[in-house]
Amino acid sequence: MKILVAVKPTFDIGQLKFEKDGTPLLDACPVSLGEADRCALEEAMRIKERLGATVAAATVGSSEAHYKAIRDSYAMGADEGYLVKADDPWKLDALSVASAIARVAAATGPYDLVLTGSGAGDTHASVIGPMIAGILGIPLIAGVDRLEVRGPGVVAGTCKLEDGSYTYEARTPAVVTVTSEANAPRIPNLRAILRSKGMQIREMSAEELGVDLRRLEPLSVRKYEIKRKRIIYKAEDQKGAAEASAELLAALRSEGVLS
Amino acid sequence: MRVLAYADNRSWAAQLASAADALGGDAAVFVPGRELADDAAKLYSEVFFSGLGPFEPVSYSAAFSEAARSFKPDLALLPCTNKGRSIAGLYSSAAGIRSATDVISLSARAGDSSITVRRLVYGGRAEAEFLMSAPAAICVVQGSYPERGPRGGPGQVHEVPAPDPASSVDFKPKRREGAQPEEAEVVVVAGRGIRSKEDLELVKGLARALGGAWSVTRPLAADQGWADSWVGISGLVVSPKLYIGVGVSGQPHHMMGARGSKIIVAINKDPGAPIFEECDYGIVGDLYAVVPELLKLLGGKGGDR
Amino acid sequence: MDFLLSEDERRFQESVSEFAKRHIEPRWIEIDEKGRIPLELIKSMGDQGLFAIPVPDKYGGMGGTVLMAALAIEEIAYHDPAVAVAVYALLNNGWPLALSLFGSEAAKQEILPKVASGDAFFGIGSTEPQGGSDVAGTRTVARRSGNKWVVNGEKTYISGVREIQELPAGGGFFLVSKAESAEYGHRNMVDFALLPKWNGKMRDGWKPTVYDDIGRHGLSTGGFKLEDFEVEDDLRIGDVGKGFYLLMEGFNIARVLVAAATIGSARWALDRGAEWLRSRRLFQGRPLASFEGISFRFSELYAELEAAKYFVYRAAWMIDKTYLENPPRFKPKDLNVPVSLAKMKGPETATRIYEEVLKWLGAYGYTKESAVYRGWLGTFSYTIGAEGTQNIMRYIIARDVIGSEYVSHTG
Repeated sequence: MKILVAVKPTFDIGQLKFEKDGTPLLDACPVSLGEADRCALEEAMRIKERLGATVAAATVGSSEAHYKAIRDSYAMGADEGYLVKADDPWKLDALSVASAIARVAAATGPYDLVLTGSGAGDTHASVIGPMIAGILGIPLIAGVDRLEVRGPGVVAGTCKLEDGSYTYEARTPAVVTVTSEANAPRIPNLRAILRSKGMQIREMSAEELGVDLRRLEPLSVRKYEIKRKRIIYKAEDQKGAAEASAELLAALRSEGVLS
Repeated sequence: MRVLAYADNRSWAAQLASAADALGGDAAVFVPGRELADDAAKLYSEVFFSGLGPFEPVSYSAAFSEAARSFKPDLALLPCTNKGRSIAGLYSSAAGIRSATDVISLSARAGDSSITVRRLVYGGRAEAEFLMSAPAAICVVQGSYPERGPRGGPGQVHEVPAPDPASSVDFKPKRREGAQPEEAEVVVVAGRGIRSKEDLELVKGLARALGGAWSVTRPLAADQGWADSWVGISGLVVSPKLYIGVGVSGQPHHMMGARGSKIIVAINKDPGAPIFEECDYGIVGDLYAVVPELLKLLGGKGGDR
Repeated sequence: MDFLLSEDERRFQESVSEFAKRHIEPRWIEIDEKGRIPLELIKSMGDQGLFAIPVPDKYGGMGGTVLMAALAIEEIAYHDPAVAVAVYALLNNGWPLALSLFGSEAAKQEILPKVASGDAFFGIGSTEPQGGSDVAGTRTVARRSGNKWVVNGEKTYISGVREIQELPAGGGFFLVSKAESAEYGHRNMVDFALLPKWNGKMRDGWKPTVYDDIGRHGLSTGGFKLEDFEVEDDLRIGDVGKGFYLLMEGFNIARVLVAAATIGSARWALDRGAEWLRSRRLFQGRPLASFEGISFRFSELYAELEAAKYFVYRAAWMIDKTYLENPPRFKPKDLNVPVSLAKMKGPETATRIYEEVLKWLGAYGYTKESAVYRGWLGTFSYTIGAEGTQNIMRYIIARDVIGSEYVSHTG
């Protein structure tokens, strides 16, 4: 089996800080391989270990973090790594990234499965996977927390959506997006980390792939704040709890949110 | 702007109708089933539907694309839900058009076919403003637009042939016990301050007393297994009139799912919890002392609702 | 001079931090409270490659460096402030490396793979009832008998006495003894890999007891009597007469890892302190951090912690350049002062940080609920003097810097 995993470094948004004017301090924010992408890699590795497969990782972007994302994929057990060079990768629009990955799949495949995390941790767009499926014209199973290979050429994935649980069965090739609840991704040991250092990363250019990388320049980006009242009551003990509760309910009644 | 909306329930049909109003111009909606079409016809002058089975993204987006081929929209508006994003991704890649998700507001620019879009980025911690030109596909965040009421005569209803699903589907509907967080006017959420599954009763009781729904933050569902679903960026996105976080610290991933609430209340013993930066009212105290007091005061209004 | 960690070192540090967050942090309090480290945690640490980090690949180790081991121990201790797991890991890195450097090929092939996999423990057996610091006063005697040695003596305050009995393969200690006679001095000191339990079987002649410590409960401290305990000659580590010197080289390695554990735990304490200084408000809503008597003390402790950290990294780097590079950049005696600085600074800084953070927490810090006291008691063991007393560290620095002809009292 051949599996391609599309990966992307993402900002650790819990650590993102802002200037006084609301500008995000992205340079100072740690970046790493996204949690859902690591779960996608883990699913690929489990299939490789159970049934035999070669696993390739692909990313679009030329930042140091993108190279590290491929090295981290190697440390998790990927066999091949592809990096589509692109300056200023954080501004690339989703369709450009999906097209680039689809071209990598066409150029280095054929793949039985294209996996990716079901949402980038920072923007959580969740559209890259569906776009790849749309471009390649193959089935899409989006948001799985359980993936199984049911037989030669057949995969099944279970997705927990808003109204219930959906289990989809599709013939490969197919695109599957994996949630961060699907598994606990393996933590590479030192030997795997050291081994990954020496592995080659195959760089590809947009020109050779025949893809047009477009960027979206925002008019502005600033801290998102909804002005909230921030009226805080203290409840240091049981008596305080009773008083604070009474004050809270009175306030909510005057807000008109209590019937 | 000609707008084609996608809606799979009445609430989304109504929210996207007011989004379309804000843009001006003609609007139509696509719904995946005859039952929804009649309701939708009260909101839109044109309705497309297809007799589709349980949700499968490829066939649903193919049917939506068919409706788009007929209606020729400048903009497609979809819910920013798991299903909506899948359809948006498939539809926009097939049509070769740009897309934007997590959109909280849209406005048309007078005189040209471009729109100003504000979307949430970096896990909801920042908002970005973009200029996008039509045609485009937009996923709108729950609660960004109010539900518009019915208007005018029933709209025209067109049927679109249902394409075959690309995967077979086995659907197990969620057992709907009691009020649902996505629909309720009051949502009470349990966070990690709740020490055991049994203690969830405090939160459920408060929800009952207020006539609302209860839910949890992701760790209580995904890690502890105390619930099937949770409020957050990767789960349910709610926008009730009143949200109460009980022992919730207010991490960005969770707040992304709750920000649309009209009033946010926090009960937490840690005065430094991030939720206190984002709440309208808060009580800094032990939830095990505060919630019973609230229940006592609401006692007369509690019971079955 | 590049003060930043290399990409591999950072990636490894992140991987250990993630492992510790997932598997150790949720259990450290229970480990300290119940007084044991679950065997499956030890096994999963072995599977993750957290033991024998600097031991060569061919013996089952990770082929890494002592600096990497120090980074790993620091991260483990950050998630296990009571340091039982961190100390188990540091002993199981430092003394296996010593065995790898000085032991026989047969001993290395036999023992190291099982240590690396998490099935066995290899620690230090040096201290005796009459003294720890005065190693020349060792009274454990090994008498040659054909191709084995028969050992008699007693060791006290040894970590891991209970654990080796419970681990599947077992394990033992880098044992310090004297050949044939107990006369005072280094002349006939000889080291062994003593394996009271091996391949699942207990050996005769090993009589253990376990003590009741005031802290670091998760890892046992105990003693044992050796009564005609037999050790094969290929488990001898180095020649007769070299025992003292090899032991001191082993202590240099272990001491830098001990310092790494104390700074990891201290960093946790200082982070809890900083959180408290931000959120605790008094005198009409002022955060504690706005009182300079408090924030200035924070700055002083932060400076001490940074200094202690760089002492550790520098000493670990020098150890790597002594033993893992060819030709070596430094000689073993060049390590004495840098290591002693690290082992002097690390535990004492941790003790000072814990004391101050507990004062900031006030009455809350005095409760078991806050858990901060567990780190204070855990790291305090190293200020009291485990793995080399603080006064011996001062002695070594004075002797090597001022000059042994002025400082030495042993002639």
